[in-house]
Amino acid sequence: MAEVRLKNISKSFAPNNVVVNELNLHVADKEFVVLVGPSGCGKSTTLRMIAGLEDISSGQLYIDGKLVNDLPPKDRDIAMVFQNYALYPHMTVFENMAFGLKLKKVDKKVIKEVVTQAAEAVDMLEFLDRKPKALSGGQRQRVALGRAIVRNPKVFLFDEPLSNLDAKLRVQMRIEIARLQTRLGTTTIYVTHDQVEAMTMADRIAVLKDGILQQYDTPLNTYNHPKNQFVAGFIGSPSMNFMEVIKDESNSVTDPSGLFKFKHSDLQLPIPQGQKVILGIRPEDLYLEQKSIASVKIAVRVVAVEPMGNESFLHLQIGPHLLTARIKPDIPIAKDNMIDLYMPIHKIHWFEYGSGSSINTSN
Amino acid sequence: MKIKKTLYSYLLVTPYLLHFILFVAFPVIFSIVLTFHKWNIISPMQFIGLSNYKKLLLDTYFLKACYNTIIFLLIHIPLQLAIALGLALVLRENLKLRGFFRSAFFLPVVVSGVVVTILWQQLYGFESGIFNRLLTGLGLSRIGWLIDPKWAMVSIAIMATWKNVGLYIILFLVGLQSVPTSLYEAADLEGANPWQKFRFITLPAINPTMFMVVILSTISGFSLFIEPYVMTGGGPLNSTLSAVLYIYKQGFFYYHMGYAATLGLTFALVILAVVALQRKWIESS
Repeated sequence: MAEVRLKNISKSFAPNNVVVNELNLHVADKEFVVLVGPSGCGKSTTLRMIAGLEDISSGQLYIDGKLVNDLPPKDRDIAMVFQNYALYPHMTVFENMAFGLKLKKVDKKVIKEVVTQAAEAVDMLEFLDRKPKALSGGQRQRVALGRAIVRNPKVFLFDEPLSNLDAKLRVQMRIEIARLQTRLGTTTIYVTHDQVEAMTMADRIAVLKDGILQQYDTPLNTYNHPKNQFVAGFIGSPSMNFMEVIKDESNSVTDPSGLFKFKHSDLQLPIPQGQKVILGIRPEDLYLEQKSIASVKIAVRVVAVEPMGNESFLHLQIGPHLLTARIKPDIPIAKDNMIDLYMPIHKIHWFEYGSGSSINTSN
Repeated sequence: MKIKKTLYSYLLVTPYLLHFILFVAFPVIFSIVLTFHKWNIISPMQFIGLSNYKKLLLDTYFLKACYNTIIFLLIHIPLQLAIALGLALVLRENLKLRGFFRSAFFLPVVVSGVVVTILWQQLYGFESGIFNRLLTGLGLSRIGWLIDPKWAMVSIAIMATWKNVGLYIILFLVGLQSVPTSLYEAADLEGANPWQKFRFITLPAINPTMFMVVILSTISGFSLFIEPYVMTGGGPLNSTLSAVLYIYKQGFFYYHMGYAATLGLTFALVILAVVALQRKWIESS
């Protein structure tokens, strides 16, 4: 097993087209790290650089302490699972899984043994004679997983492996991959744009935007203590509500057009009076009744109600802002009504206007 | 109203129907009828039963023409496959002037066969042709490209390959571009070298294209006519006499229309049988 270290890794396809910018990342031995971010953030490019499928423009990449920048993919001791499975269509499941070993001229008996073990691990033993076209999407992904296991690599790389599966199968495969990784103890780097996958599978999440690392932390820390407005908005579903406000007194903020004002003695912001600031509150932190003394009341208009069965989402409007609140499903609230909501002060996230950096209010 | 609609429908299909009757159905039926007749276009047709078929069985020239055509196919098809696939593999890469080369290789396909043949006749010239000039420049002796019976069909096969290869390059390019890049990347990770990637990924993936190219070049090869007609007239010593050229000569040179129709029909059945066998062989392998 191995650790992976990215030191100031950059990638540009043209002088003015930097897709990964000075990325520093340390993936510990046996760790499961998820690279997450919107399309075009550089996560797949980063993974492909680790795999050796893309050249590194600058910086150093170490796998198991060894500089691998100039090593071809086959010599990096990694295995990759692709989004489209990349199974050889004319080969059977067995041949697909055995291909790498066959190229290495491994003894046929050993190949059979290793492939059988891997097929057992991914529950595909009874499909070894089938060709990929005779398999479902989930089964194909298992074969791709089995092919990776056969190589017994130091590092597993996953490039959005569940994107082509339906929602139910995705949940099932998510659990299986996580379980398999724990059992094999192989260092894993997993790319996804799905923040639910990131939250549920990762030991640590690396959130990327425009090729720049925004935050590298445990899933819960990323959720509870986002370093900036982008991370706060990207992690969590429905995403965090944001409102642009102005600090007008020592313990109050107002809407720039004066439509509403939040005032509380605990509302202490370490920024000068008159400065704009971004207020962030998660949908589950908006309450219908006052739970905490330190909370501010806001009057909102209900724009829409989305009952999900186990919960309901309220889409609300306050001034120019649209907010979402997550509430229990059995509370009857009608559209177009005005209601009061409570925001606990300690649940509010504050971000600098412009830069979006988180403002620490603990002092 | 309904009758009007039906009449209108018939009116719409009439042009195609007329074309089909005049240029497909009538010639086919007429040529089948002709095979049982003797006819020189001017005199009335004379029924001769199966005489044309008996004559065909003993016709050594027709056998020679079929043999020549098969020799042509044996040189032309592998050469065409290898060159088209090789060039398609090169032109798939992100090379400079890729678009120019793709167009350049396709250009001979759209140029008239007669023009190409006359051009190559000059290139193959014994005294002043560029190929022989190159050979003598290298200190080698001249080759009688079109006048030596051993070389004549080879020369025609080379020219026909040059003329048609562009079309097959395009077909192979389409086939190659449909192979997902991720398959090659997965093979890279597994340590496959370029030959192994070609052998285990590219070749199986373009199998359907390969099948199509073999069938198309077989059919076009069987209809070899313009090249020997313009370049050699079937000579020297009938070494480039193709089956279609022989049929043409029987029909429009000797005016043996009945016999030409018999040859044509038999040859069409031979092509059908060969293509069916090819298909079976390729599918099974």
